[in-house]
Amino acid sequence: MAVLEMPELTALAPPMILALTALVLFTYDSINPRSTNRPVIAGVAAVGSLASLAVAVWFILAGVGTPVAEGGNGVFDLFEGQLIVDQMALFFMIIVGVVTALVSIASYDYLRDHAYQAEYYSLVLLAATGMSTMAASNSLVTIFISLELASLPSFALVAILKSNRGSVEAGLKYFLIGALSSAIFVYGISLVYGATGHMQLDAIADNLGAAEEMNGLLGIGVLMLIGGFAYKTASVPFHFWAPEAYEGAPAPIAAFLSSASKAAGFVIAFRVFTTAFPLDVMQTLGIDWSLVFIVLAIVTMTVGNFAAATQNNVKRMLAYSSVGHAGYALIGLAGLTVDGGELVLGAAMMHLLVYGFMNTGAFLFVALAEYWGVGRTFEDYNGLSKQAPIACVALAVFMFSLAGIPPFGGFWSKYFLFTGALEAASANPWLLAVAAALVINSALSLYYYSRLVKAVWIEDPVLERESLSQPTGLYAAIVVAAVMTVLILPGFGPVADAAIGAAGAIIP
Amino acid sequence: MNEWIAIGALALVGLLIPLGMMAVSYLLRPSVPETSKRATYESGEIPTGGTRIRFNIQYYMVALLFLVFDIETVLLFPWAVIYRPALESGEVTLLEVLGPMLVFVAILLVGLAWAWRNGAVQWATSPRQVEPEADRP
Repeated sequence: MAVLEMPELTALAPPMILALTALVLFTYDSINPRSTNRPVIAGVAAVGSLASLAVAVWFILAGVGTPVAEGGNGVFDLFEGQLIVDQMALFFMIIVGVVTALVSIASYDYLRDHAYQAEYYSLVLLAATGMSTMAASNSLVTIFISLELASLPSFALVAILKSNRGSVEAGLKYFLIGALSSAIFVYGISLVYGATGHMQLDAIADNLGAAEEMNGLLGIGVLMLIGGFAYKTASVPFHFWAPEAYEGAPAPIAAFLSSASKAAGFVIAFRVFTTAFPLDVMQTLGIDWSLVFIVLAIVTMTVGNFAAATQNNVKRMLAYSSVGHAGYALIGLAGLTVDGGELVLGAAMMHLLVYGFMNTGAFLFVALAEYWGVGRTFEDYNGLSKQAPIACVALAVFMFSLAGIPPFGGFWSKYFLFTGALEAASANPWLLAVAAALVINSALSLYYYSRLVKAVWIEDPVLERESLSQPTGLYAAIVVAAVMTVLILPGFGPVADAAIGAAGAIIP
Repeated sequence: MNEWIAIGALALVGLLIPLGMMAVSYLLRPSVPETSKRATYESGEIPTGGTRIRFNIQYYMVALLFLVFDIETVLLFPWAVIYRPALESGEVTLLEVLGPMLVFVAILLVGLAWAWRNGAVQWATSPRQVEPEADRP
């Protein structure tokens, strides 16, 4: 097979295509400065992200990243193990590719009067490059560099509506909290390096035994790393930037940050804690990180859902709901036990994939509402279904899927999380509390998700509206996201296999 | 005796010396309150204008562009040191040694060209230069 003979560097094709597309956009903008030729610029961005997505899907189907023993082409280990392309890396590269493509297509209409077209798309693609590289990072150094590559363009993107006070304020808050948590994260890296003498994740795992007398130092380092991951995934205790940043940011960027950036934060958390800090060794050192994640998962989902239930602003409601979903995905780490946990970790990965479609779609509907200029609160959305039935059907799909109602993708990933947590509960009874919190919070979330559906479909509009336009790009992105949220159901078998296989490969 | 005691003692002395100096000068100095002591000191000149001047954002742009070349040098230097020995050892081809560096420089050149074309090195005239007396008190 052709893939087998390819040079090792080609395994990194998905992030490299994204980086190349960003450079193409920079070159285009150098030749035509301040060009507002939207079809060309948005088209290049969409083609680049779709190409990256297609290559990642092709790789995972061709068996790149699957160990040779299981009939694949082997895990690609680049630059002395600094980067690794395995199933999990490709799985998350797919999520990043999907979200980037949807956001690029939707931004075509959203940015209709915007002055910085090429800058916007090249920043999106550079951030996506960082997220895609995060999926493949296998050393604390590459993790930190790719995390910064993902963060720095995001700060600029949140504040890109330069004349909008909310956007600039959100950008500044996001930047300040990002700088603080990056500092904490890099300090944690230095403590782990001090205790083990290594940055590469496998080498850290091999040298944990030598860290016996410094396990206090190591414990603080691990705690600080968790702080860094909590920021990137918008989990408690670093979740408070999320509602502010998402509310002020342009809605496609809020979609991008809450789906792709969150998934990228989870992939590095999964890899660091399964590869570098295996639970059995860490428990003998007295650092039981699964307990921390159990507490964080319960607190995060409860805080996110309760806060979301009290919001009047739709975008803030979605922002808090994304905090709640970070709590669900944290179950993937909380449910790991000494001799198992593929199911629960795989379920968390599935949830992040489904979430990539349904949450991006929901934020893109908000983008559509901002495009129409209908307003921000639930009341402003009243009766939109009369003017835009297709988009409102899609919205209903996203909301019920986010809440976890059976026919949609969101139900299946939550179901797997629930059964995975119950299975792991035989080893760690605390997981029963996590599973209970998952069910209670899902039931609560149905209240505020269905409130939005009710506003759109049942309530009568407060004010008479003129007929609303139907922007092609936004509609296409929303409809594709909705179709995928539904279609992922029959296709769930292979997705679940891929996710559980990827999870099994990284658990020692 | 614990060796940390010495460090603690040093820290204590380091704290006491400045505090002691301030206390002694407080006790010895005469007190002559005078309004001109509160004025901003500008090397003996009479201060003009406020202290809250806006600096031109272009200084920031120049600093950013400098960073491009700075990073380029940091990586070019060790590469240049090993370039000839690596080629003479015969274990790597010219393409393997030269290629990555050319790609790296090319990527930075794209960034520089973009910044240049978008006016980062175009020294803008500030309103103050155009109307020198406009915003003076």
